[in-house]
Amino acid sequence: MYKLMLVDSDSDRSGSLEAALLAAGYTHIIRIGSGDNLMNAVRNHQPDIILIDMQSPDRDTLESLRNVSRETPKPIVFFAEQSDYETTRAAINAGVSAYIVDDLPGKRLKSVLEVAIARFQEYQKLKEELEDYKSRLQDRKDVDKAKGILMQHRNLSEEEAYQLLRKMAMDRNMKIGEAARNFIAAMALLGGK
Amino acid sequence: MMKQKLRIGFLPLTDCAVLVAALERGFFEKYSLHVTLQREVSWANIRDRVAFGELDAAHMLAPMPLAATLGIDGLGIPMQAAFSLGLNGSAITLASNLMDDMQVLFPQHLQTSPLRATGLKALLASQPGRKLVFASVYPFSQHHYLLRAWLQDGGLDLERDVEIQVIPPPQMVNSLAEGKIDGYCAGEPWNQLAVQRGIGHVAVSSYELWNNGPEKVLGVTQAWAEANPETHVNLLCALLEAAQWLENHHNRARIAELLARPEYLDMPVEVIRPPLLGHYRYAPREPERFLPDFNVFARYAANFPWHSHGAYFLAQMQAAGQLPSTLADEAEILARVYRTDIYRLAADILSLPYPLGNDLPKSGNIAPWVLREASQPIAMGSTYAVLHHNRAE
Repeated sequence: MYKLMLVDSDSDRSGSLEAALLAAGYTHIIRIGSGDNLMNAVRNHQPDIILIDMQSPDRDTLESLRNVSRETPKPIVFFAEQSDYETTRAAINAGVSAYIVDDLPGKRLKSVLEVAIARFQEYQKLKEELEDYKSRLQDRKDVDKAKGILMQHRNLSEEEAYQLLRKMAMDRNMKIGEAARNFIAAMALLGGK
Repeated sequence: MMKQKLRIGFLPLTDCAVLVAALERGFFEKYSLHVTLQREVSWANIRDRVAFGELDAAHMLAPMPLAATLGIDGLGIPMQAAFSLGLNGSAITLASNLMDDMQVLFPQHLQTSPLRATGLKALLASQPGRKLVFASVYPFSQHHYLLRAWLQDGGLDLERDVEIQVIPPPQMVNSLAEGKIDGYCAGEPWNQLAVQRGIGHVAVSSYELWNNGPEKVLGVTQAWAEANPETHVNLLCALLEAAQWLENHHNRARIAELLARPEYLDMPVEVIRPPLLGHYRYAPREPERFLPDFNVFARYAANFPWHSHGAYFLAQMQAAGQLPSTLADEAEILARVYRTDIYRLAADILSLPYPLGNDLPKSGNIAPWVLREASQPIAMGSTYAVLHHNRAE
């Protein structure tokens, strides 16, 4: 059975990937985070396949293991050398990359990589959703603050203040949250609160 | 319709300065280019994102487009470079405790600076079985090749006496501090940071190994260059202007401030600025030395992608076992990858002088000279390479 090593600083994601790989029948999995000594881990565990998060700078270290040395008796190659263009592209878009020992059949790798791509894409989507949620939350806060300033300075009702902000945003072709932030910044500059 | 929205990748190193200057000083805008600079964490990411079109272009180690076109970089998607992002700019740093050991045992080898690796050879001869561990930043890099040449010059056997690893630049200083490596070759600010922290001594700068040698280029895929010829030339014009801007001494101080920002190097300006102004510190308790050519961004035809530099890289790849056979079509490969023709188009638009030949004249000039085989004569710096005289050439 092949030995897999997962290098990822996001332990939630690598945990989820591990579970998916276990379900796919891969039982021999080593997980390491960033900051761990990758070279030592590779020497000690001698994995057949390494899956690595593209945010890890250790990729360049793996690129150097193409030459056979005493420490790595089998050369490790970038998965693209054994894989097709589309799979490589999908992996790069998802932010995951893989290295394998040179004599591993490409077919095997592809199935492992497909599981990894799916997990990474899922996390990317979750992250985007979270960021979207955060930015909507921030927009709401800023709009409330801008409304407060308008109500106080211009003696407006809440609804009137909101309509004024909305008009400001529409006139400038920006989102209401953005308009609110600009307005707050301008007021701060003028010494208002 | 010319492609105007571009994403350009870079690694947080001082020599991404031309890209940052082009963005921050409005040179991209001047040529109707809307550029986003995207920081990456590894050269492998740069290669992949350029290869698959997520990035239009990137700050690349000069040998990378050659390795890609030769199909030896693991991906094999042909790339090219029409612009060199500068000359020199890196150094070899040794661990301070290694220097201390040599100072006690073999002071005769430390009497001159820049240092040769002969002291390391003597140290190894006195301690049989010891292997020194060095690091460079990427297998296809001038850092790797200079490190090999410097060690060999000192009489070290690259198989028996040393192990050369690859470590990302931001991890170099910590690896040195933790004793995982004995030394490394990297770009700035990573050498000056080790000196500032008192854990490293600069043995030799890349300038001293090869006066005005190649370092980084702007890399694009061949497919991108063919699809976007107009954008490519405009991009080069913007970069040529940015590089010229960087040759002004006052602007060097300004670019240091810009580079220090969180979105670029995210490092203290005090570490970034001195080398840009030609002030270089070799050892923790020494005054700075004056190395005015430590970073060259435009002068001496610095932006021209010389075929002779490419030929040197091909020879280094072969020596390092990265390129198995001799190349039958070397000239053809160089012409395909190092696009002097596109460079000349852009320089001509700006009425900047450009070389007419593709190769730097062979004999190493040890003093400033004038290149006359050019559209207008070009003032050049020394091209002396101390190490390559030992080579087969």
